[in-house]
Amino acid sequence: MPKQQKDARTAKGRSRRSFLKGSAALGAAAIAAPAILKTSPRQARAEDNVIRIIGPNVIALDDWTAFTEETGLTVEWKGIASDPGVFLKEAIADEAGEDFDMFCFDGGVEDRLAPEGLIMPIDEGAMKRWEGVPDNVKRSPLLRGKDGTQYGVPIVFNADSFAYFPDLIDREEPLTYDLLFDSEITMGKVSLEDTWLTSFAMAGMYLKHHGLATIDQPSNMTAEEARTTADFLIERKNAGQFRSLWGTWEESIDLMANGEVIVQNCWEPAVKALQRQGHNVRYAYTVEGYNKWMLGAYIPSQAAERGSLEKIYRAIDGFLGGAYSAQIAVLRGYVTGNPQLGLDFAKSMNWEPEKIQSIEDNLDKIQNKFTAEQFWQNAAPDNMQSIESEWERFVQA
Amino acid sequence: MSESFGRPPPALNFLRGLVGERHGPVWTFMVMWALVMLVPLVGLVVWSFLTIKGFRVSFDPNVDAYLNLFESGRWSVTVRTLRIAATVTAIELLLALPFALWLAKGTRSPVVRAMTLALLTVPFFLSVAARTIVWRAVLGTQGFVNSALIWLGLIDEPLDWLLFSEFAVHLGLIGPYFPTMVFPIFLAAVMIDDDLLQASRDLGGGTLHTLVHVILPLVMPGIIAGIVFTFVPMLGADVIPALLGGGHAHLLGNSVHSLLTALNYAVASAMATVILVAMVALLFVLRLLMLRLGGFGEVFEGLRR
Repeated sequence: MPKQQKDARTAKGRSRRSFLKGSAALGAAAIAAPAILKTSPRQARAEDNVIRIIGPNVIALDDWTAFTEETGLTVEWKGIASDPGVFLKEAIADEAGEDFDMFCFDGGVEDRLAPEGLIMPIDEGAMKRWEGVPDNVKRSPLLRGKDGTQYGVPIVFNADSFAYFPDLIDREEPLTYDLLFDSEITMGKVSLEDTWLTSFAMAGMYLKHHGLATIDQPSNMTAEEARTTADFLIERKNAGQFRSLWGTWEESIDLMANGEVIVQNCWEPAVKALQRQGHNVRYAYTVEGYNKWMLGAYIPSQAAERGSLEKIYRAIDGFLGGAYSAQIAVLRGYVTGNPQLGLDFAKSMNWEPEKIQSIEDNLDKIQNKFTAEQFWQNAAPDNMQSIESEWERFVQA
Repeated sequence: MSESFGRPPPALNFLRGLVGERHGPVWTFMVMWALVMLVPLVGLVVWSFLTIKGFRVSFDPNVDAYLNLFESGRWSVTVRTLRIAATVTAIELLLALPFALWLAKGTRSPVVRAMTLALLTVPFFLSVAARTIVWRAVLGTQGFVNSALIWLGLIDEPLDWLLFSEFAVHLGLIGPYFPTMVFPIFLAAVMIDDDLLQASRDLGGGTLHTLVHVILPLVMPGIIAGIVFTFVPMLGADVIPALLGGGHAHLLGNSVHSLLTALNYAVASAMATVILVAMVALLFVLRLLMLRLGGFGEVFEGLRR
């Protein structure tokens, strides 16, 4: 993925950043040495009508025309991997706030960024459509700091489970995660996403639900709970349950498209893509619950100094509006803060019935999946290094 | 006074001893190299003894990172990486030696030689991921090899060890790391004077005798350079094991990447330090070998022709 280029650092810019506290942070800056060596095209500016966003490509639209018509803003999108480490590196070491008006990062990341002074609290009165977002969405712990301060605005969210071929797995939904972790019918035909962020927490949820281990919060495990979960996964790996781990979502599509695996925990867009290719693949409704996640908009602290806040809130209103909601629902199956506006938009624009149907299905899905308990994905668990370490023990086993 | 003014500093004398009289560019190069290469390496070693949390360093030297290497299976990935890299390097040598000798001495056609050398550079223009992903279509359970074997009636069930296994990783590594083994051996072989081969024949030496007693000693600097240029970069391979290992043969590069998702720079640095020490040891051994053969500089003699 292309790295953004950085402007040469001015002495003023250096002293301003609150997190550069002495040599400790200089050490971090040296880790990110390549960022310092990079030279320059541009710095985010307030006066133009361009909104510069950094976030995963999967939530960017193919065509921003309707968004631009609604907001008067042109979107410049810099795609990055959807990975908590990448988000933190961009925001902290690469000082992305200097170049971008908005971060679209996995919810949870505010617990790391806010204490560093890198993002600012949301001014709820500055948005027209904030009121329309249901409380159980906008007050998610994924968007608020540990003290309850609102730092994020929901962009898209979903409840992730796993994809499977109903022709090969003859069971009625809701299914259980044993198909993913502990099942004879899927033996050697399972792929897991290669990250503790989703796969490890799902395994923890499975163990917790079935009383196989004592786990309090699957997405915020203690070191001991992580060890138990890793032991379970290693036992299953040695039994031959898992065919492979996947890293990119193209890979996850490929693994099912060519029949290499029949079940995998993956993103809903992968299922959409497989269905478009003509495969009979379903995204499971489950007994145990879902990996509920959210990509939020966060405002870098530098935006206020640049005087960009007005256009940023205008852009956020765009993401909470109908044009974005309708397009992302059809493209990816993701839901926004005001999904009803998306349906209204699609109808007012006289979209084809199939597209309107898929938006309606999406609304039903959220009714069903978001009422389920279990866990919110957590990009910044308290024991992140222990959890990664245990996940790695599984991968190396 | 004027004499001592004109005397170069001892370090420069040392360098001059190494590379001859043209010291201006050498000085510049050495200083640049130290800045760009050595400083980060020293930083790496220092970090491996510190605790880094959320990009903040705590200056409390400890060996926790090294202990973690053992606890999380990262020691075994280090050993696995060294083992696979060594095996593939040996395979590369077996394949590249006859190929390079043929290219240098076997073919007399400049066109064939130029074409072959050009073809060897093609891999550098394609992304590793794009080249590697093709293996999946060949080795998968529904892939070309399995389909062919089933059609021929040799097997009933697809062989699942063809893909997402150490076998697949070995196979995937062979292609990309072939040119780095061929080039140095070719350069060493092409400079062998044909008169020497003729002399060996005139004195009654057979093909095998000439190969063992004339050619091999002369291409040895190329072989050793090929081993270094192939083995060392392979220690950092991450794309191929990720795409073909499927979580059954992760190597160091994958493990380091995983550490970075948890911002665990200390353990990542410790892993890199272990590998660094292993490489320095390897180079030391190879250097001892090379001293008997005239030093590393011999490798590049071929370029003068």
